[in-house]
This record gives sequence, C-alpha cells and structure tokens, in this order.
Amino acid sequence: MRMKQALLATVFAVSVSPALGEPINLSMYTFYTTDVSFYEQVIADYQKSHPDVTVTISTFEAATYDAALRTAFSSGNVPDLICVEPDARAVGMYPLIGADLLAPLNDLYEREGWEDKFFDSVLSQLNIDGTYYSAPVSVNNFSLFYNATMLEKYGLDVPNSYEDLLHMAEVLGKDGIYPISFGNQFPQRGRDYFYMLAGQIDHQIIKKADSGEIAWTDERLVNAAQKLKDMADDGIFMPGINAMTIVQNNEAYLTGRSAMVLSGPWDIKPFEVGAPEGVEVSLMRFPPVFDGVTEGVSPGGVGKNYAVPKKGNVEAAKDFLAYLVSEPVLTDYVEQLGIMAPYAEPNSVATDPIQVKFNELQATNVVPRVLLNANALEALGSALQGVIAGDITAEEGMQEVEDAR
Amino acid sequence: MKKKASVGMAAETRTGWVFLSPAVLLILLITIVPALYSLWMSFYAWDGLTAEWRFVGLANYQQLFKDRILGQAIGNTALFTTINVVFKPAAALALAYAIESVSANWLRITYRTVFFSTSLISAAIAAMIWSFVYDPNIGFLNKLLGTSILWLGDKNLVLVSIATVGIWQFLGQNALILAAGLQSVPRELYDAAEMDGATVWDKFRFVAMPHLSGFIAIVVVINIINNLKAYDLFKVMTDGGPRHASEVVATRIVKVAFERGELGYSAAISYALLLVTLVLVVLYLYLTEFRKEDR
Repeated sequence: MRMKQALLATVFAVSVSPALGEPINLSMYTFYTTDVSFYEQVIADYQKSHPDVTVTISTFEAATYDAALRTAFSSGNVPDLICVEPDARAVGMYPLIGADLLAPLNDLYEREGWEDKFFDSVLSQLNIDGTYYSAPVSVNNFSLFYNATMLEKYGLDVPNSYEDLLHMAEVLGKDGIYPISFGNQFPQRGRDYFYMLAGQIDHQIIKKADSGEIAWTDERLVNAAQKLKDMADDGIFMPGINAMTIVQNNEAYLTGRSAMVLSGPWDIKPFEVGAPEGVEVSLMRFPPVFDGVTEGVSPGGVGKNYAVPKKGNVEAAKDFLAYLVSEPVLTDYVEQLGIMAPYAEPNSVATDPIQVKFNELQATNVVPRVLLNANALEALGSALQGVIAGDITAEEGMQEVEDAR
Repeated sequence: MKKKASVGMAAETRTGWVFLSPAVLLILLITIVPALYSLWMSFYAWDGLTAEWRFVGLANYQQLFKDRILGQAIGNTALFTTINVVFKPAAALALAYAIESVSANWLRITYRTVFFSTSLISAAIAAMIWSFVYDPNIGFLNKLLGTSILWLGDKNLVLVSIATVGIWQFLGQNALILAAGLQSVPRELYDAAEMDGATVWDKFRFVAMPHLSGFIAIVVVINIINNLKAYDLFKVMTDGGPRHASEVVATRIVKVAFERGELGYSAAISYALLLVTLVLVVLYLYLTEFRKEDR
C-alpha cells in the first residue's frame, strides 16, 4: 500500500503542479493529535514526489484550537489548510463561510469526481447552496453497541421496535440492568438522540427546522422530544441521565450495568478492549420507535473535515487536500487508525466486524447531526435536559428552541 | 548636605526602578496591555476572525441587562460565592483550631499536610474524581447514603454539590492560613485566660479571634476573588448544566467568546465581573480592616 501511495503522490506531482521548481510552503492546522504520526508519514511521501513543496503540520489540543485559529485569522497569518468542525461553533465551518474566509472547492470536487464518490450524507451536509467549502477525510454515525453475550444470556433478540425495548427493560430490570445507558450531563448526546428520533419520522426534519422551513414547535419534533422522555420514564434508559457524562455512560455499558450504548466508530477499540473477557460486542442501528416507522436511522455525517482559507496558498493547498482524500492515503488511514473514509472504496480494507458494520450503516439512513443556528443549538441541549428531567413539557421545550432561534 | 541627601535618594530610587523595570515591563505586557486591549474590545462588535471591529459604544454593556442566561449565571455565581465565603472560612477556622489544639507536634504536622494536600490537586482532576463520587448509580455518596440522588443532575442541588468540591479542595489551604494566625497568638494569653476560668469557647472567642481578623480577611478576600471567577470545576463537572443551573459568569464568558464568537460582548461581561469583584473586595476590606485602622 505504501508503494501505491508513493506512486500516487508522483502521479499527483506530474498532473496537478503547474509551477514545479518554485518553493511552496504549506502549513496545516489540526486538532486531531492522534493523527499526527500518520500525517507526518503522508507528508513525507508527498514531499518526496513534490520536492518543491514543504508541508508543516501544527497540532493543537481541541480546547485551544479555536483560539489558535482565531489568532491566525485575525493576525492575517493564515494557515493553508485547516481542520474545521462542520457546524456552527464559533470557528466551525459555517461562521468561517459567513466571514468569507474559505475558498470554494467546487473545482476540486469536479476534478476529483468527489460528487460521485462521497456518501450522500456527506454531500448533503457540505453542499452550502451549491458550493463546497471543505472536504472530509472521515465520516461517522452513531449506532448502538450491544453486549451480545448479555442478550443471549437473557434470551433476548436485538430490539426492532419500542415494544422490544420495553420487553428488554422488563427482563433485564429484574437483575437491575437497563437496556441503554445514556449520559446527558453535557447535552450533546441528548441532541444526538433527538436528531435520531426526529430523523426516524423525517430524514430532513432537523435541516428543515434549522433553516426555518418549519418551526421547532412542529408536532413531529415535539413527538421526538416526548419519545425521549417516554424512554427515560419507561426504564429503557438508565436513570440519572442528566447527571451522567458520556464517560460514565460508557463505563456503565462496559461494566454490564446496561446492555447497549449509543456511540460512534471512535469507541470500537475502547469497547472491544474494555469489554470483560468472553463478552461479545456487536453493533446495530437504533430501532424504529414510532408507530408506522419501519426503519431506524443513525445521526452522523462528516467527521474530520478540512478547508482551504482564501488567504493561504489556495491552489497548492487544494492539491495537497486532494492527496489526503485520495484512495491510497485514505485506505492507509482506515487500516492504521480505524476511521471511516467518506466514500466506500477505502473502507473495504476494514476487517474488524464492528467497523465493517459501521461502514454498512454509513451507506444509508444517516441523518444530519449539526445545526447552523448556534442559539438554537444551545437552547435545544438545555430544553432536552428539561424535558428528560420533567421540568418542562416537550411542547415547552420546543418552544424554548423556537424562541432562541 | 541636604542636597547630597536628596541626590542619594534619587539614585536609590533610580536603582530601585532599574531592578523593578523587568517585572514592571512584564506585568505591563502580560497583564496591563491585554486588560486595556479587552477594555477597548468591549466597545466593539468583533467575531475574532476578521480584522473588522465595529464600534458599538455601550451596546455590549446594555446587553448585559437583557441577557437572561447571564442573569442566571450571575445569580448562580453569587450563591456559589456566598456558600464558599461563608462556609469555607468558618469550617477552615474550626479545622485550624482543632489542628492547633493537638499537642503532639508530629500529629499536628501530619494533619496539616493531609488537609493541605487536596489543594495540590488540579481543579480538573478534583472535578473528575468527584464526578464519580456523585455518580447517580454507582457513586460513593449514594452508596453511602443508600440514595439515588442526582447530585449533578438536579437543578436545585448541582450548585451545592459543586461548592462542596470547592470547599473540600481548599479547606486545608484556608485552614493553613488561619493556623498561621492562631500560632501568632502568644501562649501566655491562653494561660492567663485559663487562670481566669475561660472555657475552650471563651479562649477561642476572646483570645484567638481578635488576633485572627487580619487572617480571616485574607481568607475571605481570596475566596471572593477565586469563587467569582470559578471556572474549572464547572467546566469539567457540568459545563453549566442542567439547564444553566450551574452556569456561572466565567463559563458564560467563555461560551459567549468561543462558542458564539462574540468577543466584544464577552469582554464587556469580563469587565462587569471585574468591577463587581473590586467593589466587593474593597467594601469588605473597608468594613473589616480599614475601618479598624481608622479607629
């Protein structure tokens, strides 16, 4: 694969670098510290075939990344390639687009044929009124990890409906076990559940509410919030939702106090390694929980995502980004770091059964889990905590989000 | 002769300034200039991404009075600070007195070390430890009490739960300061009080306390300042939740700046917090220390 990668880098060098010989210095910012050693090797390969290009990668802890990017942009010392969250956070992708700081990448999408390659969920998330401003190197979706050994022990099948979840709660409850552990002290996981439940009713409903096409008080969204409350009240979720962190809810799953937990591909290794001896870990889509709904969905979409600032060395940065998204590089990425690539081919090297399942689930029924309206984002997290705790009704919660929009 | 003395003074002053200048320069660069820069920023709307600063006058300060979540954060900060300012020094005083009453020197030093050690833990680590203590299902506290209380998930309890962590962490440190005060009380005064038939409480009230007021003032001022700007515990334990029940001014400032990209407004909140802190500290010192000196 390394040979293939080097060959590809050479092909890139010949085909896309018009100004060979002129030294080009590219700087790349990322907050995925675990990717650094992989990218250092990728950069070394790229530089070998592009002797005129030098790429410097700067990594930051997630907590300091916003400040680093902000300093770079406000000082005019802008990196050429930046990792950006595809959401509405202060220096997420959308505020940067709003400030006209990112270069459109439509020509790159066309040149690389990405519109034909990328998963639909990626394209629908990154297409901003016909323009692409970033390209992903990974995708994700939230699905249910389950303890297959435990289900077998209690004679339970994987749940396919709300009634199945209720049955699980009844059977497992006799031993003080809950079907699902769910920590919502930091409200992002509550929002993920909400996106998923609402997405079961209509795949695009969150996008419609976010854009103002429908109100947050739409009956279907109220029903989704109410369903979350019902699941808490019916003992499907472990109690203490608003008092548990994601770490604590994962711990509850790993120690056998819950049978299932909703999470993404980054937890494959921790769950496989952390599971007690003899416990088989499996993965499934969260089941449909509304009457008349036959298919579940997974909230997800773009994971690690890179954009090219307008003030940088745009063309050279685009070429390098194309290299990062190329099949050989992403294939290595999947093999070495266990990520999910934004299109199917590189993922075919995955051998871990859970990773394979994640890939399978990524291909269809993935609903967006981002909001562009920062006020609604904050209000939704708070409202769902209130609904789950019973402090407010689902209608009142959704009204709060609508008011905050 | 007179002239020579004044020249000598000037030279001494000059030398003093030379020695001070690196520190002054550093303070100017690291503290004063950024502080003035953010004061300037508080009159502008700025997203921190572009070079465009839009002058908005006092609009950011007017916004302070309309921001519902900030209002909640201010109330929470006030309550959190009150809990810490009232209970922590009181408990620290009792602890210091108890420790200093121990006659065996080695045991007294051991107690001091043990109680002080919690303040050496970083707030983030303390927060993580206590998150597990407060776990609703397997937490030590609920196991101990046989309850299933949502210590960090109940909007009526969360602030007290976090304040408890703050008290636990810095109780020993506060007690150490007060213990230093207790050590400054001449032994003879206790002996004399004892001869007059004073009880333990009498000795504490009429012998120790008058010597402690300065030390208590230090502890109270430290607590006012530290708790008004408390951030780490809240960030790690709840991030302001549930439903902003543990949102404090510092967490709000960071969210407004870095989640919403309103740096001018967040600077205005910071200056309002600074003003409140200054007023409270000066008022407290006036009521306790300065007035005493006037008398």
